[in-house]
Amino acid sequence: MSSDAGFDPRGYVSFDTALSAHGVLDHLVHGVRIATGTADREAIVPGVGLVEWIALPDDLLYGDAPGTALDFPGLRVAAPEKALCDLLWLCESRGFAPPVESLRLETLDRALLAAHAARMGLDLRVLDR
Amino acid sequence: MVTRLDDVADRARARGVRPWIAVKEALAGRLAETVAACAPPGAAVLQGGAALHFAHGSPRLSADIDYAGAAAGDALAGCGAALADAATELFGVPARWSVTRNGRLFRGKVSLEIDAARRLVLPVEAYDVPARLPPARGRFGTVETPTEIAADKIVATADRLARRGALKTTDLYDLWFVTAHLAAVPPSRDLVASKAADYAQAATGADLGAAARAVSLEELRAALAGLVPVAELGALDVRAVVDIAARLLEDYRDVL
Repeated sequence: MSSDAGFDPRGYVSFDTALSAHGVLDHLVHGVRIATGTADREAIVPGVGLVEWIALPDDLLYGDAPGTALDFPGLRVAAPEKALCDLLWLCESRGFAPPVESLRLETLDRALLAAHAARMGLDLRVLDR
Repeated sequence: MVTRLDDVADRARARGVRPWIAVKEALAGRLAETVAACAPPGAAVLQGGAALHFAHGSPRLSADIDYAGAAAGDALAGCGAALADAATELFGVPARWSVTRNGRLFRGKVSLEIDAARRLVLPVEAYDVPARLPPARGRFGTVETPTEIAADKIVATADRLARRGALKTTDLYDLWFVTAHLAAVPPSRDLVASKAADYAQAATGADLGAAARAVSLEELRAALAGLVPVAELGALDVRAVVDIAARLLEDYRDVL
């Protein structure tokens, strides 16, 4: 899978990067976080900027679709519900607090969110804190 | 007040390791000891990166613990309460145990409740497949031999390459470690074929050696940063890692 710029992401854009692009996260996100099956690492990619690859278990890498011409052309991007679950998975994997105050959850499909959370073994009550 | 969590994180920073990985390392070691004491002997066989780190001396830290065994999931399930208690005792914070199952994959999680907003999860997973070689026994219970760990990694690499078009760079390090440091006997073709059957993996004939050689040395070093202490990483010949792992992988093209 290669982008229009020839950048091979070996995964899909997700986490806070995808949530920001989908308008679900109010934070200004400066890097591109990619869910991958390879390994955690960071690199500066010409034409893209800071890219952080975050390794997820193979069976949790799903829920992505082609990016738009506006956001991430040529790359694949997680749907907002999956991006949120990927972010919650990352937070509990590294002991970070989820950015609950900055999330705009009104537009999310709650049933889809719950289905992803069940598949990934996540507890969504963290969003109610 | 400096907590046990703070202490582990501070020492991790001093040796160039990611703090959350070091916390998981300390927790994983305690949990592996707990499984060794709780599970029926031989029911849950420690495998993968955690086995290499704790039982075989690899400096690479692992962010989870994996087990094999025909009924390894049930064995871990029976240890859930003991695992949560061990985590609480180690770090002095509440810990919970939860489980999901997907076919033969058993996914347990020990969740440390760090504070009201943060938790840290350590996966404790099992795949209900038998260990194929007589395991070693020690402080961390029954543990796969380096040769069997290499066979698992070779099969996993073929699977990941077939399904994702990429391989896990840390697996290259592990294959190099078992070959160069442990002088492990390369897995037999029969062992690798048995593993592929255990994981229901169809043969693809993919050139695993070429895929390994395509990994850039910068990418490999970046993937190991924070997992391998600075001193060991600085002395590491990453080209040798790729070459040795690639040579091992390319020997099984006719099997996988």
